[in-house]
Amino acid sequence: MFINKINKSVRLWILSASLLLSACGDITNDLLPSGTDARSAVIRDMPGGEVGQILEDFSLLTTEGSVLSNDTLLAAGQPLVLYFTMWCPICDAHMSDYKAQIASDFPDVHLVLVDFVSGDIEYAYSSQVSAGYRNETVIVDDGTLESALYGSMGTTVVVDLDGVIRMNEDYKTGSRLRSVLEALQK
Amino acid sequence: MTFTKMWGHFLVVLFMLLSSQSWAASCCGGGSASSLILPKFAQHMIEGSFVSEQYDGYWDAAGQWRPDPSGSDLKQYRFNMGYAHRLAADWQASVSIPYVFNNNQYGGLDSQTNGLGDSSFSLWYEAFKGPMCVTKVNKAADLLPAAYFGVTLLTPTGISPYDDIDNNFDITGRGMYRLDSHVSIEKSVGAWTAVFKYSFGKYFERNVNKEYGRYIRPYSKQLGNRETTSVSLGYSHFIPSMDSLTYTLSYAYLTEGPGETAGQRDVTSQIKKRSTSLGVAYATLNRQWIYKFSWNSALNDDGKGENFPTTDIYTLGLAYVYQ
Repeated sequence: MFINKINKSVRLWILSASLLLSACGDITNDLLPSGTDARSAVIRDMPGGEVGQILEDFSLLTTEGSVLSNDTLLAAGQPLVLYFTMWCPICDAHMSDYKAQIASDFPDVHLVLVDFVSGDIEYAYSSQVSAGYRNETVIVDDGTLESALYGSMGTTVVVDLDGVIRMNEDYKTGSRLRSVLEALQK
Repeated sequence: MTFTKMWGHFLVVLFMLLSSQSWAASCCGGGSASSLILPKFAQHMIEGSFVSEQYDGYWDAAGQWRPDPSGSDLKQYRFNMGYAHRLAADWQASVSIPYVFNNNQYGGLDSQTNGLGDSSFSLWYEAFKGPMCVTKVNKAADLLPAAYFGVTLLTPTGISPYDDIDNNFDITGRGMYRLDSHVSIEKSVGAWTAVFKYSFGKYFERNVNKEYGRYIRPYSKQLGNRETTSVSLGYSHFIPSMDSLTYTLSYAYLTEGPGETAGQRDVTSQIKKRSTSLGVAYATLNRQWIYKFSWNSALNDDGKGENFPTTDIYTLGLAYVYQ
């Protein structure tokens, strides 16, 4: 009787667990993580979003209502850092780190935040103010930059004066961003 | 109050305080279900719970609380299934698997996704041989508490930023293995039970070669050590049918220290969270069926957390204990 009870409950649990597991997709990326570099070869000096490629043309509104394009930004003669934000705690941690550790060493760099989730100016401006970034330049992306630069939360893109992408990856600790900006200064 | 009733109270309080507390956060990972504990003389237990987590702003990196944009509506629902099994008189093991539903509206983004969360496997040792609850304290030995020591392996069965996802609203897990060690000290005197619990978790380093479905330059990543400390107070009483009701109030403090990314110290992943919980549990006379409801709320004031969303977590649970 007792064994039957155990078997019944174990079977019930295994059945339920199996149903759950069968519903999940490809989870092996995390269970068996790979350190293999699986990136495709990049054709450099062509328009694109990878390092070595040229920033594609765009023209988008900012939360101030003005239009910003790649030409406008590069005409300022400053290296450009685009940071993809969704106004979340991690985004704030990245930007706080940038302001505290990096910004003062690179006064000529133009930081532009890319809001890729809000979708309209009013909403993006509200998010910007709530998050404490009222004074930053914020592009309201309509999917153009997200698609062109494979943007996601924390994606940090460095573009040099010639419009060439020098970095396109997550902010991480900021050390990679610092070394790329240092290389641009030389 | 008889000793049997006392012991029954203790088991219900234990269930309330130790089972399926969750610390998830969809935009920062989450979806995990912590371990569940089998009562001392029970053979095994099945538990199911439904969790609704509603987001309400966040603490920024400086600890200042900030609201979510007006009109945003961020929710995560989790269905947790758990099973605990007695291995020996003082040893037990358990497994807990969550299934996560993310339901987020944020600006122009309206996202509904679901998937398995991070699963946990636990082993517990009970450092006591019998009931440690007393009706009143008559001698020094009556003050001895019940102590549990355990380990939990959190496995990354959920959907993380390192999988094929579009954005952080799709996340159901952290993407990292973590080994937690736990100590839990409980003492029941009369209708009252006090619990102190401490957990220390160490993440395993992993390689990352993909983020949000895009292959990237490979790097190594290890999140910082995770510590959770909680204190709880429970009160139980019997209703005329001899079923029991237990009320609990608890306070928890969660931290994760600096991690390491690509060999560099990573302070951007540090988190802190303080929260309080209120709960009520209803147990049948034979202590086989236990129903519970709890409400966990982050203390959304400045300085009560860092780099973490503030949420309200509502849990509705049901457990069946095989004596």
